[in-house]
Amino acid sequence: MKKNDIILIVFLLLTGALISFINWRDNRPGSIEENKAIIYVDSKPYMEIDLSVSKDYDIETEFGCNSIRVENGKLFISDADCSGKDCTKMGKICNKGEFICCIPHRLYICIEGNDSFVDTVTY
Amino acid sequence: MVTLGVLTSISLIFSYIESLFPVFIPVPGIKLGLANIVVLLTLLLFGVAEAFAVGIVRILLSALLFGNLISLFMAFSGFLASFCFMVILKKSGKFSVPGISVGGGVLHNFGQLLAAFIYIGNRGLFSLSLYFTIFGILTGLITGFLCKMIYERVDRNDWLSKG
Repeated sequence: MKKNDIILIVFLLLTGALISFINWRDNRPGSIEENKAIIYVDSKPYMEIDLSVSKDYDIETEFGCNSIRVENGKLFISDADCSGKDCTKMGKICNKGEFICCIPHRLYICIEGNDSFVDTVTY
Repeated sequence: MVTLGVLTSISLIFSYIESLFPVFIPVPGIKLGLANIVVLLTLLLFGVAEAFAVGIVRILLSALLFGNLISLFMAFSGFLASFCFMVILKKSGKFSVPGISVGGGVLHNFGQLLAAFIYIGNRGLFSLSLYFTIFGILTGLITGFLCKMIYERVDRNDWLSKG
């Protein structure tokens, strides 16, 4: 390891952090649980899911099929008909800005917040 | 030429082993990138064209054997980004083997992230870039040190460079 290698690593880390931050700022993940998930297929909105109802959904499109399960306000992909099944390993999402994507099926599920400009309202 | 064929098959076996044991790292979508050891080794021992050939043949073969069109597209974009960057790092002569490997690892992930973005079309994906950078550095360091060890050993036996 030379000094240059360390500089390279730090530079790459900073670049990664910067790109993450820019995109995170526009799509700010919060700790507030939201109850609306939007499914995009091929970057077009496909359907909205209410997270307060525990239910299974089958998303069948021209690209493939994913089974989505909502349980206790959390959403995850329970099965997919692709070979990798990486989307089933992406975990459960429930907070604003969290997402699950399935690349082969061009599927993107994102938790979206209500269109409110205030964080919380107190009386 | 024979040596290049042997190297390609070694890297093909590496990518097969990795696809068999995704449990190496319990994080979705992250692989060690063992096949990159071979590509980097070829780059060091032979040159740019040879390493490019080994990488491309490996990707085409592994997509034909174990993958599909999408995995080919993802692997190709990752390879192209990482390969270009590794060539630049090597030509600059300022970086050691693990350094080049780290650059390649990170750029591989960025290339794939970009490909995924083209495919899915949602900018939220890029919020993962820090995560991918960190894992690119870690896996790049591991494969880089492995590559350095192999490089130091084969360099002394000159049968390989006679090819």
